[in-house]
Amino acid sequence: MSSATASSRNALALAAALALCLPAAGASQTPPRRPATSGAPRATAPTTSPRIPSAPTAPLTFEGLLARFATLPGLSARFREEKRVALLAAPLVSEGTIEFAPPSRLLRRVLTPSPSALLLDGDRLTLADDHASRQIDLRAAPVVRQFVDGFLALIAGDRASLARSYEVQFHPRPGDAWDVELTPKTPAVQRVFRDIRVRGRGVVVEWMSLRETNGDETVTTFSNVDPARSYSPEEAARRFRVTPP
Amino acid sequence: MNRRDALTLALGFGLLVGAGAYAAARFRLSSEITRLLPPHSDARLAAISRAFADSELSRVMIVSVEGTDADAVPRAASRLADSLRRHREVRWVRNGIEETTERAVYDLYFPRRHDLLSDAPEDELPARLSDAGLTASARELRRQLSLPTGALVARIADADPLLAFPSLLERLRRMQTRTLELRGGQFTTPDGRRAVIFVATRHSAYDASRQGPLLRELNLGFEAIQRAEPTPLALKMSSISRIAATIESSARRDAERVSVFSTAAIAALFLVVHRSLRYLALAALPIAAGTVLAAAVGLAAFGSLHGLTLAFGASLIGVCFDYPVYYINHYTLRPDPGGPRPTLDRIWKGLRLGAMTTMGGLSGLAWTEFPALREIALFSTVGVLGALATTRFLLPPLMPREPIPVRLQRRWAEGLLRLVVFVRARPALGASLAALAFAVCLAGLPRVRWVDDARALSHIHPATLREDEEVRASVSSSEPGRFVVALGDTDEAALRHNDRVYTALAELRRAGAIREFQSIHTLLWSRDLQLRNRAQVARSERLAERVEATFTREGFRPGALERFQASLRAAPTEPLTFRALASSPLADLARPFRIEPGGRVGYLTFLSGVRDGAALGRAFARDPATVYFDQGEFLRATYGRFRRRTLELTATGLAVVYALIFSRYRRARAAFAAFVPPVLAAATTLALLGLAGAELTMLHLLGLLLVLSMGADYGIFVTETTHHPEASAETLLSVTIACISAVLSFGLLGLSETPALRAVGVTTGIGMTLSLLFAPLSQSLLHARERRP
Repeated sequence: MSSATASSRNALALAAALALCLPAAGASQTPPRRPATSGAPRATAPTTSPRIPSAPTAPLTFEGLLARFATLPGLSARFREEKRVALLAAPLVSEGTIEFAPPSRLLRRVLTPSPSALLLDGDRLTLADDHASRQIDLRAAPVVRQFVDGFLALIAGDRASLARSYEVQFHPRPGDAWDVELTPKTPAVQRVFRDIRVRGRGVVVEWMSLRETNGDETVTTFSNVDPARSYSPEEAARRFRVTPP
Repeated sequence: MNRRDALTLALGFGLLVGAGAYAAARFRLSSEITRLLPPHSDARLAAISRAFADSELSRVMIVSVEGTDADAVPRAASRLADSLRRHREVRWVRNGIEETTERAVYDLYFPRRHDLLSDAPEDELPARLSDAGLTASARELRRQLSLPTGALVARIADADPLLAFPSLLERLRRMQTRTLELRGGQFTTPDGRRAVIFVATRHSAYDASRQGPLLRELNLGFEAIQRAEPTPLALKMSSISRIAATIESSARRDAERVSVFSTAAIAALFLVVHRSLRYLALAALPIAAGTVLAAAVGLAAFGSLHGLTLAFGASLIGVCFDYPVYYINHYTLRPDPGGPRPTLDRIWKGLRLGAMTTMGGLSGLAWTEFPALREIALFSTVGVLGALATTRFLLPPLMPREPIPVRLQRRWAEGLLRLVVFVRARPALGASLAALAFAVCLAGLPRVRWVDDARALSHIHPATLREDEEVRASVSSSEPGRFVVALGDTDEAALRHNDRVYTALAELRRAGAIREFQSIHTLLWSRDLQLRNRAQVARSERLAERVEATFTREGFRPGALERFQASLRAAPTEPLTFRALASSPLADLARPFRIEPGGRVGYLTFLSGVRDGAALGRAFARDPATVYFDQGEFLRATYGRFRRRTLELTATGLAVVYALIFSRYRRARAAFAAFVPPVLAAATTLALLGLAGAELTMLHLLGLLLVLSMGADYGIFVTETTHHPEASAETLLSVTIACISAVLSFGLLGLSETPALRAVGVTTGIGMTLSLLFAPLSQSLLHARERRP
């Protein structure tokens, strides 16, 4: 039974990965908001955080941006996601938090309207909501692995990995701002989504759009971004986990 | 050699060559378990057992490549899988997910999603398709769209707002009890240290002639692949064929080793006693002739020979070794002046009686409704008759004209005679021996324990068993040999019953009788159930309008579900059938669930964590179309009945033997003298095994039959000395040589590692030694009156 199940697992994992929507790192452009729950990240960086590289005076390049991303100790942010699904008259709006601990731990919690969580820890992807919890091994889903690796490569500043999976277009804008457009190279991924567009300023990602081939689009805006968030091993073990319902 | 002898030899050997050619041309070995069952027993279970043993599932080998290098493991496994695909004995190899599988799931199930909505459509669908039910479906779809997996749902939701297809995918996911991952296109366990390959063979797993070479080439192929890898890798396996091949090769090695040694020892014995190998060849001739004739007649009568018939029958014919030994010793030590034939005439009545008692004892087995026992009876009777006829007609012309007695032979015979005279003169000695034997019987017989588990007959190294279980557990938790079968005359009939089995097992799982089960129901429902689902959807009034209104009210764009509306209007797709499934890329997943027992169709449901087998048995006993089947328990019960019946019939055969002996001697004492030693030897053997705590099997029973048959011959030969007292020494030497030969040929099997061979060996070894020891009791009983004043 393994093959049929694994097929569905592939598709499921790919769909889950589409929702990762990483914010990368950076200082928030929006006023800080008080966290709604204890699970939310802190609005300000801890005093122990390393210094964030300041904006260089020279014109921003993609390589320069990646180099700055590579020095970040971690990340936390709030997000607001608008999922524009062709079936629905109005977008589905959800809000929550996102946390990232290099090199490959990511937790995305939806707090409203219905709580759910997605945890990426190395090769394992865990999805949980009020109804069920499910684990997916990304080694069994190479397409998803490729998708996830693309995001991780961006915020880890790994140009080579990024270039393996995506065509990258980088557009610097005035004031240390920038746009990046990632277009998947692999046909299997191309069948699912068209591109990922990311906008930011310095090491702060402000906005992200993921367009699917069927016309649906998920737009995420980030706030309260703490690009200097670092996690001790104990704290990481405590925070980066989801509890089955 | 006179003309009469030449003609006799020509006719005899002509008959043997003809019978041999016929047997070779028609030879077919059977392992039909139905032949071990009486006709009125549950032939349905036997057919299931046979079909399961020959099913595709039993032919699937699980091959595991293990190592610490997470890159080398899948790489080596993929190469091994590629090499296996090229092997002529391999039907298919599966070591990863085919590109076509995912598409096949969609193509097979998405168009039929409304046929597969509910196991109980009449009960569940009216509520699910009501306005309230549709509102709940719309809210659930919205919720699903908002989840991280929403993108997947969104791709099909406009055609499947009731989320029937995701439910099917979820069923498929739950069907998997152990998770295998993919690494480099190769199945691996989650830790990446074990890569798994499924290999199905073309022929039966029990066909050692096909599976042996495949297993050898698999090992060689792996060794070659391993040499190219930088880190050490290990090959492990779980397969019936490997276990069967291990048992077969172990038994063959044992038998070869013992037979080489015993042949050499018997040849040495003949060389020492007769100074001639010619006599050894002559002694072997009746057994060979008897076996050939028995095989020819058996094949003509039954069309094939059961494995048990060959094992039991050929062994029983081996008893006939006594006849030429008896004849040769009389001829060499006390030849009749007329030559070989008159010498044989002198001892013929005793020889004939020995053969008749063997055949009489075996004839008891024929009075049974067990087909295999009737086969054994006919095979052995013909064999003994053939051996006797060969001794009577073919040996005399082949005997040397001038027998030369060997001094050692004569001394040995005279020594034995002195010993017997010594014992005869001391009746207390014989009485003590008999009393001791009775005491052992009283103490040991109540402790005899019979075991009817076929596994007790074979030797499998514990490490091999552990490896088999470990590999199997890494891919499945199902218990091999325990399943529920849904039977029908057609696929549709069987699938209808299987639908009910699924529902019943789901209930039993909730009740805790089982932990989990795997059914083809996950992949395939009966046409009837599919059409009943379809009918409920079609019967739901204004479904399209109500779906549109309800979903719009719940926030869906008007007209967004056009694909769903179109599917309701479209011509329905044919319900899914086994044939369609078996010709799709999902065939490998479906085929192991199907068997064809006795010309019918059966669908298997595999069980794991069976906590209450009795509850399962009761649950399915009420429905004649469903069976809870425990292969191990079925075989135990079958072999048990067979063994008990054989014991009963052996006892009946003993009465026939006594009657035959009595008809010869017309005196109860003489008949008793011939009869008591073998019976006492067999009983004491059984008692000693009981005292030793041995678990006795059907093969011990075979050993006892041999002891009784050979012991009866010895008793008769010794009793015959009342008619020819001058030939007592020759008779005693014959009995001694026959006994030593029997211990060397059968008894040495007691040193075997294979429990089945060891059982025969230990029983005959002890039994024949006791027979020899008790043989003087015949003399004591015969001469008891003489000693009285």
